[in-house]
Order: sequence, then C-alpha cells, then structure tokens
Amino acid sequence: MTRYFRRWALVLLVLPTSYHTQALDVTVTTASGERLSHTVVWATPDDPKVIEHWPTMHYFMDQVNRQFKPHILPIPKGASVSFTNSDTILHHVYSFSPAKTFELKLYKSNEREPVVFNHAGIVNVGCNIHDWMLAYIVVVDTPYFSITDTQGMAQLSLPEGVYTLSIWHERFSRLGEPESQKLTYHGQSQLQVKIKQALAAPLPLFHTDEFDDY
Amino acid sequence: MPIFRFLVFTLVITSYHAAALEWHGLTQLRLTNAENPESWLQGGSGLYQYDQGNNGLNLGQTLLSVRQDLSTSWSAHGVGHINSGPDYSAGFSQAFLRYKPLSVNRYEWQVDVGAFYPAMSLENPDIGWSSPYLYTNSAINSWLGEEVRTVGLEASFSRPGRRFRSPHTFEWRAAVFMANDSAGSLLAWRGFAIHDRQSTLNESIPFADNPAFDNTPLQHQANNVIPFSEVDGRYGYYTGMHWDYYKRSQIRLYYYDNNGDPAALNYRTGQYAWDTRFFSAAWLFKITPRTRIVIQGLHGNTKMGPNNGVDNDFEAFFILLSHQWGQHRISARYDYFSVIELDDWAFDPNDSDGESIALSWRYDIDKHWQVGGEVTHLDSFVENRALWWETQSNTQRLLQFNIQYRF
Repeated sequence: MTRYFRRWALVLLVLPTSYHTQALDVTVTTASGERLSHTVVWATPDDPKVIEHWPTMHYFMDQVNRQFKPHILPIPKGASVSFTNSDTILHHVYSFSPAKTFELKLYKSNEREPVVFNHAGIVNVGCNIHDWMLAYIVVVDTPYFSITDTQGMAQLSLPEGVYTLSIWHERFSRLGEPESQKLTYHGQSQLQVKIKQALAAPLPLFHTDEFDDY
Repeated sequence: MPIFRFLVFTLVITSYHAAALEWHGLTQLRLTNAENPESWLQGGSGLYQYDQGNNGLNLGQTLLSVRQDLSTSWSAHGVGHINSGPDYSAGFSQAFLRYKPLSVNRYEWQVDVGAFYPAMSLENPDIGWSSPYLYTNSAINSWLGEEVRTVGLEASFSRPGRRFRSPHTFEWRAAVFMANDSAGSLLAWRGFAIHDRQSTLNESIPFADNPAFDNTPLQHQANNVIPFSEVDGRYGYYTGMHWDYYKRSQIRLYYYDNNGDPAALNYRTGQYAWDTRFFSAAWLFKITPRTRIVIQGLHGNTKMGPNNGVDNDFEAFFILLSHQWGQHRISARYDYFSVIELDDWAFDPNDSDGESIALSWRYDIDKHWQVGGEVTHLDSFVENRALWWETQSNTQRLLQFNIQYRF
C-alpha cells in the first residue's frame, strides 16, 4: 500500500506548478467509438522550453501471482523502475527491446538496483521462468503523460502551447509505432481522440496463481 | 552415481553465492490412523504407506528444494527428502542442471540434465513435486513418485502464446534417459497404491515377501525394487506436448517407453529390466480462479523375463476437484486403477484393481504454518494376496491430521 501511495505521491509532486497549467480530459475511443482503457496518452511540446522542470522520478513494477503489476507502466525518459517480487519464488525479468535491454533475477530476499530508462520507446518486459508473463513500459519524452481508465479517460495537466499528442495501446498492430496528431492547447478542457487503426483481439490477463510455475 | 555426486558438489561449492541461491522447504507431522493389511513398506499387502503398526505420529513430506544459479542461463537444482518409512532415510529425489537461455526471438527452449520428474502430471505443482491439494497422491502419481524419474537429458521447445498475441501456448518436450529399468515391478507385485512418498535416487523399495519367487523362473527377483537402476544398458525415451489456454486450461499428453530389455537381469541386485511403456493424459481446468478440476489418465503395459513371463497391462484414472476460499482449501479425489495380467504364469498372479475416494481440508494459519486433515477410503482387489492366505478383496480407511511448516 505504501509503495503505491509513494508512487502516486511522486506523480502528483512532479505536476508542473505553473499557473498556465490546466487539466485536459482526453477520451480515447476505437474506430467504432468504444471507449478504450489502458491507452497511454502523452503530449510532447514542440517547444521544449515549455517544460519547466523534469525531476527524477521513481516507479515500481511488482510481481504478484506470476504476473507483472502493473501490466502497462508509462514513465518519462530518465525515470527509474524498481522491480520488486511479492511472490515467494524467483522471477527472471528481462527485455531485449531497443529502448532498453536488461535482465534481472529477483530472488526473494534480495533488493535489486532500479533500472534507469534513458531512451523513449516501448519496452517489452518478460520473465524467463514464466513465459506467460508480459508487461510494457512505455517510456515517453515528456513529463505530460497519463493512461486511460476503465472509461477510456486520461487527464493531462498541460501549459498552453503546441504539442504532438501520441497514443499507444498494446493492441496496436505495430507495437513500436504510436499514433500521433497535432494539438494546439489553449485551455480547453475536453478532447476526443479516435484510434485510426483496427485493433488486435483483446488478450485478457492470463489466469495464474502460485501453482502455475510447474 | 557420478552425476549425482557432481550435482551435489556443484550445489555445495557454489552455495556461498548466497544471493543466487533460492531454497524452499516444508515438513509435515502427521497423526495417522490406518487400517490393515500392513503396508508394502512393512512387507504387507496394504496399499497405504501407513498401517495399524504405525498409527500415531509420523513424519510426512519433509523436503528441501534448492536452486543455485550458476550464470544467467545455467542453474543447479536439487530436492532432498527425509522419508520415514519403512525406516528413516535421506536422499535426493531430484538433482539436475538446467540450461535456459534468454530468448531474443519469440520461441523459448531449455535443456535439463540429471534426475528429475517428467512434467506429465498436474497434481504436484508445489515445491519438490508435493501437492497443494491432498495429503495423498492419486494412484497414478503415487506410482510415478515411486518408480518413474528421468535420469538423462530432456529438451523442451515452446511457443509462448503471449508473445504471439494468442491465448494458446504450446510446448514440446522430449527426453532420453537411463536407469529407469525396474519401473513396473510394484505394479506387478503390489499393484497401484495411494500415498505421497517419493522414492529417492539411491534407495530400494521393499514389498511383500513373494512366494511366487521361490523355486520358480522368478527366483532371481529380489523382494524389492531399486527404481532408478540401470540393468540393460539401453536408453529409454519419452515425448510430451503441453497445451495451455490462458493458463486456465492446461493439457499434457505424454508417451513414455523405457525401452527395457525384458531378458536383462542383474543377478547381484535381483532386478530385471522391464519393458514399460505408457500413455498419460492430464488436464487442469480452472472453473473459476478459486475452483479447479484436475484429471489424469494412464494406460500402458509392462513386461519382464526372456519370454515375457510377466506381462501386464495397467490403467488408472483420477478426477480431483479443489476449491479455495480465503485461507481454506477443500479437495476431493476419486481414483480408479487396474492391473490386468496377460501372461499365463499361474504361480505369479498379478491382477489387481481398486477405487479410492479421498477428501481433505487444509487451512493456512499464516505463510509458514498449515493444518489440515484427510479421510481416504480404498477398496482394492489384489490377486496375489491369496499367496499369503489373505482375502483378495479389502477395504482400508486412512485418517490423517497434518501440521505443516514451510519456508
């Protein structure tokens, strides 16, 4: 509990404090109009000077009942992620994604150094022992990012300006290619974004428990 | 055997790398009340590991499972046991090296070398091949635990569904092995049994002093089986396919053939090579995340002697239902098993069959301590009980209260 509180507290702390900053509610829908959860949304300013400060941020990705938690984790470039293990057995976390290549064995009694993500891109994380485990770390080059809730809504707190608004979902046919559009933000509160491509079939989290590693 | 010494040595010399060492263990203390006939472990024809002679406190599963990582891809694994019947003994049930490289492409593969279980069952997913469901194994897995082990090399190749955006995961396994020549002896002369005792790699398992071995063509056979001994110098093999759907449904199909030479006999140890082959099909289905069903069926044949003087078909089946709520787990299992004699050696009757029902409850007090109980009812017919002037059909009941500590 403390861990999640700490994470959200950190996210709140880094929201830009300028008085120009306002909240933009982004609703993401599929081409057929259905609201889409777990979509990562981020706004990259055309003028990088808009970003007032970019503090170091720290995130956690846990292993619970032979699954990554969270399954999708958006982070800003330069952030670090601690891989923790709430299971009683070993996990061997790794990625060969161009944005970050790493591997870590998570022994039950051993804290591992956080992994720093210095390049933007989609990092596909797996476990070498439990081949059904899969997570995505979406590394973005802006502090203005969020992920849609079950209603397909995400809130961005932005200063006014011109941005490239990008969205990414794990059901995209090309996982390395977010969809983008231009956004001129002058304080409006609502934005509807419709995904252009047809999505792959949904693949819910696999039913796993402590006896699924044999 | 040199390979086990090497593996144990590897575990010991590398264990100072404490960070790369994982170990888990459990021990169970049981209060048992069982009905005779006496257990085969005591030289009787009963089909439980417990009998009236040891009613009271007994040591249950007691094991230590160790994994020592040697590099990113290599790891050494060992499972040590203390068994309490017939006498206290210690040994390894498994000792192997695993090579599992990180895979850049979407397929995965691994190689195991040493002694380990073929992964054909879904009843024993807890540490050291123990079961989280009941305190006895099904007839099938009681037998696999005592007479079947891979002492050799197994390779597996898998297509993980997640990486292909598919709910279906397929895995193919194949192994070559030695030292499993005696598998089938217990089915012929005792029949299937209901217990959770796992044979260790260097031990011999006693069974009843069989009059069929006196001054007959079977006179060189000992009244025991050394399950993991090499008699004929030939390699056996098995191959298996795993098919998972979302990890919700898991299917395992295996064909095993130890390729034994039935004419081969080790006069010193009194062990024949048996030509044992069988097909196993297992299915686990999670009706809900808390409720599951496990089914397994086995059908095969085992024969020994230059002219196949002992020749038996065998088959077994079980269905297990388990439900967990909170820290409680309730499980029930029905077993059917049968050995059908095909040879015409009248002095050595091998027919046997039976049915068993088991009901268990387990309660996790915390992450270390668990208490539980089980009642098992077993009806059996064992033809060769007549050789000891016993009734061939018998009903046995076993009550167990169990306290377990795990770490």
